[in-house]
Amino acid sequence: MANAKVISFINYKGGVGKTTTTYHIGCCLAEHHGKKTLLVDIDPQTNLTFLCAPYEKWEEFRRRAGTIASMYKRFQDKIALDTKRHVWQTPIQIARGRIPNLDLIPCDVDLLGEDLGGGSVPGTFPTIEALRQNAKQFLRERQFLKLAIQDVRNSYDYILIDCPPNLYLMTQNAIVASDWYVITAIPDHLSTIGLRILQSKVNKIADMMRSASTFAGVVHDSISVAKLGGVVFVKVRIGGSLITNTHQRMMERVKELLGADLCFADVTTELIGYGEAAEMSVPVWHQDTQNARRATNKQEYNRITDEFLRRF
Amino acid sequence: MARSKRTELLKTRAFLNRLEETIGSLPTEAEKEEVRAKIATLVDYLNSVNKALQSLPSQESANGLNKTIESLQALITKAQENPVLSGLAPRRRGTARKRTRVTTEEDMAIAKADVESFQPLPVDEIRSRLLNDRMCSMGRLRAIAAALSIATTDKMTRESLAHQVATSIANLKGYKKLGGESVPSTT
Repeated sequence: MANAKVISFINYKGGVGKTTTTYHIGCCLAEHHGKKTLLVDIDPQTNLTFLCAPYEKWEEFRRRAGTIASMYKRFQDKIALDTKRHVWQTPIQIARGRIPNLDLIPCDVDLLGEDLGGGSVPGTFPTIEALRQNAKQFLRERQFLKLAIQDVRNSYDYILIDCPPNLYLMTQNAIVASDWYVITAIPDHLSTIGLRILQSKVNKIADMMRSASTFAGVVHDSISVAKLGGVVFVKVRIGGSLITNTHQRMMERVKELLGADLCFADVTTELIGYGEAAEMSVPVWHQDTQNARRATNKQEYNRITDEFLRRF
Repeated sequence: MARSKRTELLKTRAFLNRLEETIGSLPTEAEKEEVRAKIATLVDYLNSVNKALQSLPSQESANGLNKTIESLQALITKAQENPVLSGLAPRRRGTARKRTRVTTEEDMAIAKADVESFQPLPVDEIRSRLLNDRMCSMGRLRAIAAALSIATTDKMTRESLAHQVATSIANLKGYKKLGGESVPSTT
């Protein structure tokens, strides 16, 4: 098996489809393309985890094997992470069997306490002086996820990380651990003005990592951060059979701002079926309701996944 | 877009003619007057819009057209609700009338009790009981789904319905637990 490609789904805004997109692309890669895929939930809201399994199964797994929170505790205590033990194999149960090729490292509400800032170095984006004084600690705290993934990277084709809606320590870990990051965005005014800010903040994290490595005397080449791999527009509003003018205009504006190549050609639309499928912890094409069938027939995530495969 | 609205208008005019012919059979005078007044206004307006459609419509007339169609839709909905006029209202192609399944109060009470009794069970056990047709008939399974507000269709398989019901019960229990509420412990 090749070294997995690692992709994080990021946006510091909530409710912009990060989890639904991570989940559906992951399920589509695994089920429809036979790609061995690992989902990593680092959002303490644990939404991706509960899209994969009901609470009771999660509680049982957490008791038996632990979650990303217990892995982080091991990291802090400088104990071997033992990632393989924390991988939940084929957690998604469907009406007949399970989704094949898809595993999960689940999250835990316990991670909430760990995700309130930039780690032990003060500030989410510390000053140069603070970086100089805490360079080694700064670097170490941002390499937890990279170390965790390293253990299992050879077992997967793709590793998809669902980030929390902020740019705190865990998201910074994801940026350091990933080859690419994908932004999900609703094409409305407030969501789109944040895209450039997000891009510049990610660049700032890269700068901080490089500065810290200089201060710590670490070779720059060993420090890498994710590149922007694309923007997926979600919950696009449809009027009749066409995208509403406002959303179309906003998407055009983003294309001008970030470059048309960076925007995925296909989008997802506002459909009740996605919510109904989420309620049953299955991807939309396994949800047996009229609304879900309507969403399935649109093949939105299938096309986005096709493009995802072409890009990564 | 403009073409589809025009087709919509032609269909609507045919409907309006039929509607006018049978207006006498409206059950109350008040309804007659209301519909007559609306029709007269709408017909006048449609005539002017029709003329305007010969050339490219401006943004203002497009907005007006939208409002007219909304008014017509409201009128059609009202006509559909009226037993005398319901046969005249245009129907969408291919939309068959849904068969209504009668779930009696007694069925519902039993279903709610079933949901309660499933609460302490592990999700796999709930699923396996629901999959067993000797333990749970399809009718009973549908009633349980209804008690959980799960929409069902005739085409739904037992596996699909059992999965949805089991997941739904497990999730309800889980969300309560996450919220700090006490729930029956899993046996």
